[in-house]
Amino acid sequence: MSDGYIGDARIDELARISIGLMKEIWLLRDRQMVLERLLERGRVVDRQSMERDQPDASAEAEIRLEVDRMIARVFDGVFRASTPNLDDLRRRAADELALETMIRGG
Amino acid sequence: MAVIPQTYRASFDFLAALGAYAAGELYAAASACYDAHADGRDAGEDFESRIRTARQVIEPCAEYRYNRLITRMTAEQAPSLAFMAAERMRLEGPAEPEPEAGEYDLDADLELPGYFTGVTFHNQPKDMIYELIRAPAGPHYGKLIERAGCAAVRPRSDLLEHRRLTAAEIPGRSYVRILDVGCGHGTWTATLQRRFPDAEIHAIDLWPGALRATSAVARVNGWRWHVKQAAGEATGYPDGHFDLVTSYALLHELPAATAESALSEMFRVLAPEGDLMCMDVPPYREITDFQLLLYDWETEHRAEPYWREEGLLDRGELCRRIGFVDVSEYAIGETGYPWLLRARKDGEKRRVT
Repeated sequence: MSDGYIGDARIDELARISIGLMKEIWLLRDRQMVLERLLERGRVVDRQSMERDQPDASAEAEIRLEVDRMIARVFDGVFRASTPNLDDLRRRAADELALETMIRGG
Repeated sequence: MAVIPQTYRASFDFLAALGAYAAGELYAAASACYDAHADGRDAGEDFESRIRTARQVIEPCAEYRYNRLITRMTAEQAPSLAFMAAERMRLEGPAEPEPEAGEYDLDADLELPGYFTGVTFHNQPKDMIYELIRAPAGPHYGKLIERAGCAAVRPRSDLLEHRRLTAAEIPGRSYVRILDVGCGHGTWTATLQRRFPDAEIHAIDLWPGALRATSAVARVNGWRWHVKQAAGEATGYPDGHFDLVTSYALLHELPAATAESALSEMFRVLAPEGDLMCMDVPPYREITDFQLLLYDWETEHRAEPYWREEGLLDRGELCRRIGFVDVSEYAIGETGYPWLLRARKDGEKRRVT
């Protein structure tokens, strides 16, 4: 019987570090999205405005889409590691596009 | 207006998405894996046999293990994030107004019981509850719970709707005086006041942070509540003082013997013909073996020290033994939550004044 969640305690530590690093990457990705939003609005961008930016409903939906996709992509490496199912890939591509179109009003 | 810094907001977004992935995709896969491996096994009736079998059944399911690790990690990290965001706001000012004198009563002579002081609840230092609901992190914490769920609360649950539905099950059309035992952050107390706008509301809790949060709810809504520090098993009120006594998600935070004492105290302070309404997690006998695995896990892994005791307690039978009548227990949610315990104190009705 293992003494951790994933495996033994050392494996758990590595999993925690991996998830922690994923969060740090997300923080950078989110900051980039803030920067893009401010630039799109033609705003003068400084650190203060980036720090205080509060996403509106549309930006929140985009954030949710991006972070959900990032997490799914990372865990796909664990749970979808077998031979891909083409129908599943087609469905996922169509779902992605539909969501992006809905959120970005394209 | 308080603004949450980008790093904190984005951290909440990440934890909410991570929790949603665990509670959605991984939960569904773990449940399917459980069903596949449980096929044909008889777990028996008693708790020890059920939980032992369930742990054996789930052992090969990787999705379950990741689900649990993520559940644990979000529970560890989110409260600290909320607290630090609030602390930054406090340091950067302007200072938050102090509660008005007399908004709530701390009992300087109260000796906090060992079941409260000797344990940690929810992996949080005591008194962190205030920071979880206040600005600037409160709404973000709420979104995390909405997306990822929490313990018996499934994702996409509307916690306010749970409270409204529970309040709608209270049988009386009006009450003179209501007691909310273990008021927490005051959200249920507010639901009671909205449902019974003419009632005089009393709310008690042991946590000073809960009293502060509850009295802040009253203040911003213009309500005058009587908020004081007291234990559910020793409220300090006279016999028959209330015509409605309630608790919301309190009983599973008490050892079984204390839950019994608290229900006896609720009976004592209830007037004849008064009503009791307690919402809590469903008892173990009412849930599937897969749910049992998840719920019982909370006891040791998410600092719910008394959940198992509570899950094994027959609350309905306990209420009947105490003297309540018309005792009923039922779920108003598809997942067995919220779970309601409803009862009445028999006797010749007299007006609560």
